[in-house]
Amino acid sequence: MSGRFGAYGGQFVPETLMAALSELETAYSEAMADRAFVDAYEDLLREYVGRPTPLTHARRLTERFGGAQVYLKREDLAHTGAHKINNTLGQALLCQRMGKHRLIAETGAGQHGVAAATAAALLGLECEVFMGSVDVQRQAPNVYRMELLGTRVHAVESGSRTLKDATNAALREWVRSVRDTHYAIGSVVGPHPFPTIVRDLQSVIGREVLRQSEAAFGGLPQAAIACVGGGSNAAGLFAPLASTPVALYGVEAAGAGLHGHEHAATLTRGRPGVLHGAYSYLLQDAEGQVQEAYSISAGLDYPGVGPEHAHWHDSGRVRYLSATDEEALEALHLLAREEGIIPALESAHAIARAGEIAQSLPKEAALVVVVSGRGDKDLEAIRAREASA
Amino acid sequence: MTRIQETLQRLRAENRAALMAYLCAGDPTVEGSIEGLAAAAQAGADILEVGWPFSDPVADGPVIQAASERALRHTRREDVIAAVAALRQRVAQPIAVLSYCNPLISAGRDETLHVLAQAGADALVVPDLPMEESAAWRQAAQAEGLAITQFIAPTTDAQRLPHIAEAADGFVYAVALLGVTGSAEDSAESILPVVDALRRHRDVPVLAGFGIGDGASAKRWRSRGLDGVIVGSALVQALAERGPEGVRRAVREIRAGLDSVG
Repeated sequence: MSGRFGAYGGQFVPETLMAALSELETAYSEAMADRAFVDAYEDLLREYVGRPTPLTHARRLTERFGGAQVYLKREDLAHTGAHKINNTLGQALLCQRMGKHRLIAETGAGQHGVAAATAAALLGLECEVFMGSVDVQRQAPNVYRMELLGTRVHAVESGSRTLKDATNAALREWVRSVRDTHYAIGSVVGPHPFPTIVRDLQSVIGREVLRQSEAAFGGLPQAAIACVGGGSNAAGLFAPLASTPVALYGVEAAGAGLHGHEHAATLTRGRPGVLHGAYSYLLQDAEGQVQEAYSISAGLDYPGVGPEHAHWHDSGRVRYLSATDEEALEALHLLAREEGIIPALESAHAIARAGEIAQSLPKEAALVVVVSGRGDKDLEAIRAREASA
Repeated sequence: MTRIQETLQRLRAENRAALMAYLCAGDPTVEGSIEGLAAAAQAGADILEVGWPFSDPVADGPVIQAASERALRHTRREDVIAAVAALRQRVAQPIAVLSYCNPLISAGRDETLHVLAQAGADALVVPDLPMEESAAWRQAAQAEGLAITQFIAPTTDAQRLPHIAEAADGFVYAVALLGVTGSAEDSAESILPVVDALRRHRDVPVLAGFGIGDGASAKRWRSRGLDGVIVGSALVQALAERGPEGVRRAVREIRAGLDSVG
């Protein structure tokens, strides 16, 4: 494993963590070469997560867009309601394999926290989750879910009190407890080998899309699209498709618009820098202080992005677009009414750009859109916003 | 020989321990942090460490996090550089700048190293720059006469020590505990073997930092054979509570602890 994606990635962490990263890299390589480990992971994906998730032909949405056939990759149907569980089960198994008994995680909206708590409960690991105090307020039901699952949730009071600071707090806790604790990072971010491990664990999304496309329409889709915060569902889709001719699109959160600071469009508006152990694009001021991101979707509300996305961005292999809060909300309503699926606000960003891409393609082409999660967690936020509008 | 090497060599010759004193530039004001470090120098600090405030200080505990947040309300890049330059005018001691990677690379790494060296800095302490990532930094810093500090920690793998020893410039920063700055306990039983193993590769001065905040803890580390100690959180707190006089008192007390070891 190289740990670099072009110029991006690396291990910009305190010395105390270097041994743990190297231990993790070795354990991961050995685990992936161990048939029993891979079988155990794949069994869990099948029997516990409910994979493969369907590739649903969205007929009414296709008609509405009037272009390519739209297929939805249904990560919303995975156990716990999002793709995050693909990653946490793999990392929880790794944690066990390394002889560590405790899992820690950061969370923003709470989806990764719930997925980590779930994996820990299933495998009998202790679990503690760090969550910004602002997010603890905004996402109270997920806090309760984690607690029901036996996890302790720490409200983080430093900095902007959101995902960025929860990640700082988790890193600090890992430095303290590194000998018996594994840090299950929630996206394709952080120091090497995390971006590679999380991408690999999420690549089940792209591999299933390839197989299901063959079965559904006898070949490759013309294009595929996913939302990007840290970028784990997108990396899981893109990695297996990167060597094919499929056009790939990532959609970042443009929040209140790209003109001001109220967005989370890291690749569109940021520039390279170091945060949370990796060199990648960042939202930062002129002097290298990291800025707060903003999006209606708490899962996209992050000022960094995975280093492999930075590389795909620079190389032009993936085109990164953005969608505003308003566009995401419209897309959520559209998918709910046309297909009977209420997507997560994160996923709604991908739907929001899908129409234009579908329209640019002929009717016989196929476009795959990842519905990374279901929208139940967002209902209260959406209702509050629409009541105040 | 650089100013840091000279200082550490002289202290060794005198059989005295080195004391490196940290304060965060801009906390409570730029002027106040300069006064605080000048007071530390007067009271017996051998190396001054100017902290560059950062939005995401992952190696730091609550005291330095809070100092960084306070400083960022009014401290700019030019203020940090001006603080280094002002101290260079006032004190003879070597000056290290502690900064996370991102503020240093934001305006171009080499340009920033050049500006810091011009202002009078002697070394950079970059807590999120482990040896593996530091090669290009060391090359650029060397051209400016700046040292890039290497770290060891209780978890440092023996296989990496020869490379850390080789990359070391000035002194090696021994992280004295598993945790962030300002924590309460130390991990002497796990860091001391790493210090010994490092010294078998190369006889380089080793200063211990993290969790060392008073004369008693400084004395303990000195008697364990370290070349000196680094004190941060305790001085940040002393400055916040009692101003430069508080820093002076704290440094004197730590100095006395160090000097009590024969």
